[in-house]
Amino acid sequence: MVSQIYGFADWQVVTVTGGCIPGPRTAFARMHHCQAGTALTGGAGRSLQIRRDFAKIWVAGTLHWSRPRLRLSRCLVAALVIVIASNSYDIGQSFMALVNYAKKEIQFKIVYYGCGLCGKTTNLQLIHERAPSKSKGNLTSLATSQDRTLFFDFLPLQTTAIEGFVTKFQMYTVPGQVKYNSTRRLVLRNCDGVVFCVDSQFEKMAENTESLENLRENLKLQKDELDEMPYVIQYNKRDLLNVAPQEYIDYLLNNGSSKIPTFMASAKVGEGVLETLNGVAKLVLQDFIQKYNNS
Amino acid sequence: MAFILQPEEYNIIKGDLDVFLNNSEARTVMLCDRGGNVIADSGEEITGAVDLVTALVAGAYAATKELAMVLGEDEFNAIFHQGKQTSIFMSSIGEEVLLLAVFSDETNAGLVKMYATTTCRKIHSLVEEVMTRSEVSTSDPTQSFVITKGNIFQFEDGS
Repeated sequence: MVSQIYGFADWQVVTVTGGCIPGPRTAFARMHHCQAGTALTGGAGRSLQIRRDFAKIWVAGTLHWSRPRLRLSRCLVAALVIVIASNSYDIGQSFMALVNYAKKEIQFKIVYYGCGLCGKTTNLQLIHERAPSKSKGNLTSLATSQDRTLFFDFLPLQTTAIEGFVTKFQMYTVPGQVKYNSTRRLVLRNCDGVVFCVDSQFEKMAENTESLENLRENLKLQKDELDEMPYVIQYNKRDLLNVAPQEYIDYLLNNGSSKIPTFMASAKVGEGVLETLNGVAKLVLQDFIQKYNNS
Repeated sequence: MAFILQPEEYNIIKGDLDVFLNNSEARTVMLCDRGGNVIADSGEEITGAVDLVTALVAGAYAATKELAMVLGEDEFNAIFHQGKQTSIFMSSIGEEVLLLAVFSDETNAGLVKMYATTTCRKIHSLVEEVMTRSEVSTSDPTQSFVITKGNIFQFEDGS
């Protein structure tokens, strides 16, 4: 018996193919306190959860209650429903910016990503130190006693980047250590833009490359593509002696057909941090406006 | 994609939160998404820390979801943290939204939980509708978003 269906987009398929299945429809009706016939009507007003429940019960009932001579045809129909459902509805589709027309607020989430000790937290600390007090909230760091980020760092910023709206940017960093990959996935949820911090030292290039690959994989798991979202690369620690030239790092990390914006920085001394922040914020805003002014 | 909340929808949600706040006698109730963004709130403002609370709640929920999966559950629908004087109750609404209530020892956790269940049910269908909406429509059809000129952020030292 089918025990689970993930997502069901077009209830009209059920209308055409459902036919009369007293068992599942009665069960559905009892579950949702409605008449059995209304399961197939209701149109767009029917909540997604109710449609999902109906689809689950319908397919389960189809396979279980059908008379033998009808079972094959109904199994084929059930399979068709599942195929249509899985192709037409994205499981775990991430929702990003939040627009509140009543409060005239737009909220975005930006995540600083990179390998361990590359300067993500230092970036946020510097932003917090130098941002005007009316534009920032408290910097909160969930870290170990050795000041290594354990869960995330969080800094809320506020500006009026879009006319008529208060624009809020929620800045996050992820833990860079390899063992915290699950946590990085959690923090990446619903993010609108990414700053990929690179430790520019020669001996860190392998970790940088691995971290970028890890970022791509984690975004893919939530149905996002790094190349399709606003992101910038910050080449940090440029003040150190043993740093790789920009061209070399570009070759390793920024070698796509379209170049990702890059920023030279030394977060410890405060260089390049604001430029990076403004760069990613502009990209996020432009991406948002492009999508919604044209919709 | 964006979570777009029209004024009338926001007012409905705010109304439901106000009712929840009054019935449960909580101090503050909030609705946020799983990314930590505040959708609506009611009651006393947690001074300077509203965004932080929702960010932490979203993080805590995500972390306990992993724990739930280890134990064979999809996730824990509700989470309750009890303090000496202040407690917090969190509940999920659908797949993207969280309801949380901050309350003192003057009220009862069971009462908060009971009214939270009712509120979740009321808000659920509206939230689902907002989330599955694919087009952005504004109250003023001529309105569009315009970025202000210059840098988005300025530092205090003039840079």
